[in-house]
Amino acid sequence: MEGEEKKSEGETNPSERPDASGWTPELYARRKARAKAMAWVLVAMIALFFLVTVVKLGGNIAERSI
Amino acid sequence: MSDLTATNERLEAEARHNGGSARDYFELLKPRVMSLVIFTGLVGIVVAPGSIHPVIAFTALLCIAVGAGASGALNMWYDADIDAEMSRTSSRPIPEGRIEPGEALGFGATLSVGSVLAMGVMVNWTAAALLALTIGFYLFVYTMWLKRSTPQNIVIGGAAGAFPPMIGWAAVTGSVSLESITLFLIIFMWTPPHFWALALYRAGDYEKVSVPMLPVVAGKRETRKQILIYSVLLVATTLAPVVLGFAGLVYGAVALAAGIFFLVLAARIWAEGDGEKADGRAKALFGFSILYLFLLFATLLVEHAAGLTFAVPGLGA
Repeated sequence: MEGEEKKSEGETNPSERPDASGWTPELYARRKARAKAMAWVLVAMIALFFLVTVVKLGGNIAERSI
Repeated sequence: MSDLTATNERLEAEARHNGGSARDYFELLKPRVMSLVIFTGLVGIVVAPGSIHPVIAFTALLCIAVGAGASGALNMWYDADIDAEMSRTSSRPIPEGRIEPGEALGFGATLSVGSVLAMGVMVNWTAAALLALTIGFYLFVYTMWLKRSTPQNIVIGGAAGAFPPMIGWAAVTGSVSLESITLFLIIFMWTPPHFWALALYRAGDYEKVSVPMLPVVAGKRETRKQILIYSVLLVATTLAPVVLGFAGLVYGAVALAAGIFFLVLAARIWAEGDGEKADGRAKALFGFSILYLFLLFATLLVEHAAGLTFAVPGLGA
């Protein structure tokens, strides 16, 4: 059992070990990638809502009676 | 087993469950199905009379795509148990443990509501209502009710996949018309021979998970007969746009030529019976059916985009 423990310890890359909260660097990287994807989606949505607002209101504002 | 090994295994298991990658979530949207939905929706927009601002047209297509993807995610959530048992679907994100069922449910539900609201606010509420109907039909009528209870599952459930061109049409006109219903009917009639061709050589998969696909319940002989009957109805339906006057001679010629080839492939399946080439013949029809639908809608698209829609003399408007 002791030998197996040492072997397992030797096989584990220190950079892949979990931190105090139990998260490995791979989990952090995955969360970061998800957050980035979500950020891009939000930016794209803001741009789309802005464009649609301009398209829908643009003509009405230009042709309003002053 | 040492504590460290056990910990590593626990962490590996957690890693699989601590949220999938962005790619896993994208996979939940069934991107390949989505591409056909986007394309047919685009054709609905282009063929519809009247005009639409390109930004609004893009928004409509985006909502159709996201709504279709949301349906796919909800379908994967509900069908995770049988997906795990079937070779064709066992590598999907939920059966592989990359995404938890609850995450897929939340993802699909959020996108469903978001796409319908966005369509209503930014395009129009007729298109939004049709999109909501599509998502609801696919989830509640097809996935939850028909799929596991009747061999007519894909005949009726196929309506969900047939709505996109109607939604595209409604995005431009704000209404439903005979022409848009015709586009709906083409995909509706196309779905049974398309899926039954697949089911013929995947019957074992469906039988294993007790999904009553036609070959499992009524046998392969009956399925081959039904494929032939629906193929005849399909080819007749594809000629309706010419009769109604919103497609021209080019479309008519393509629909007729491709339709005859479709019928030949369906007849070959019928003639082969349970022979050694049976699976090959079914695969040939399944493969061509995708190309066939693409070809029909692409021709409609090109005809309208290029202004080539000349009504056939004596037919249509």
